[in-house]
Amino acid sequence: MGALQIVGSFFLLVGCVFALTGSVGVLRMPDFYSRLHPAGKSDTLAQGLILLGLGFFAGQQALDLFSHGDGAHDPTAQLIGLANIVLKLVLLTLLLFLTAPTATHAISKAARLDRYTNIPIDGDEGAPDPGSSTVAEIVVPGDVGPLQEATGQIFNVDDDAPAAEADAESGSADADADADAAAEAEGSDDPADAEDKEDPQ
Amino acid sequence: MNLLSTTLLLAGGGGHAEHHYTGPNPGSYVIFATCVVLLIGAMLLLIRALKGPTVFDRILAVNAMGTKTVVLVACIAFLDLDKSSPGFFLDTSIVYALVNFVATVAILKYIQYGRLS
Repeated sequence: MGALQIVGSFFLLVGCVFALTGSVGVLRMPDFYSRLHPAGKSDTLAQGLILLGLGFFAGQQALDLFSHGDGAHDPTAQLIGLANIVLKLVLLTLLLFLTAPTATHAISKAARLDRYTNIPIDGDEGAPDPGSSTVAEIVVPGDVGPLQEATGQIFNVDDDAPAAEADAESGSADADADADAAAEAEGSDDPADAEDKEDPQ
Repeated sequence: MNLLSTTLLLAGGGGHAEHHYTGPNPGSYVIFATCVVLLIGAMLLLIRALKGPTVFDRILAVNAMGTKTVVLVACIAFLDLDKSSPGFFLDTSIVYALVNFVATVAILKYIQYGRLS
């Protein structure tokens, strides 16, 4: 057990501590926004430490190759293989360091903008709910409204086709009118909210 | 049997054990312990994924489980470093990291917008 292997074991064990802490934090934290914290930071640090420890193990392998390499095999080929391994470890570390916090950020933003899910918050009863501010009211482009029931007849199975088609057209027109009215109501609400927000300032 | 003999050799200071077979690399036990800890962490995250009150708790837990799995596969690659090449395991790990991220973003988009286009 060489020196680099001992250093790598140390990093592995510290990474283990962080990984277990992050998992317990995700399990035990009181509400959703608190659970984002261990999942976003502790796990990222844990995987960085563990992959660094594995890199030290590969480095120890290379040192062994130099110190007492067996004459049977070509040490250069094994060295190239170990360099390949270290390169893949670096690539994996960079990839995880980029994607894991990004995914956590995307989850938190999606939960923030989701207006149909009320994230339960533990805490004082009288305290303002941090999930109920007006950020959730921001209209996202491409957002879908609540599902609207089709008022008219969709499929025409009657024999007297013209009358049924007329019914269907009037029904769809009604649905369009409803959608327009809802959009107008929403559009008229938003400036009022903005004015309300700007008044205290 | 192997574990016991290697442990004894380690404890007794293997000064006389240089030229005969000493079992697996002692670093392998550290890596094996890391694998076990990662599996325990994944089990705790699975509990959160099963009982999460909102769908975002479940997505968060599954995403963290995927990260843990990536690291677990990388650790399994190094379990037997003396005899096997860990390159293929690391390839699998990189692909799993990519798929994990894309799947998380896709599920979030589907939940928020109701469609993937």
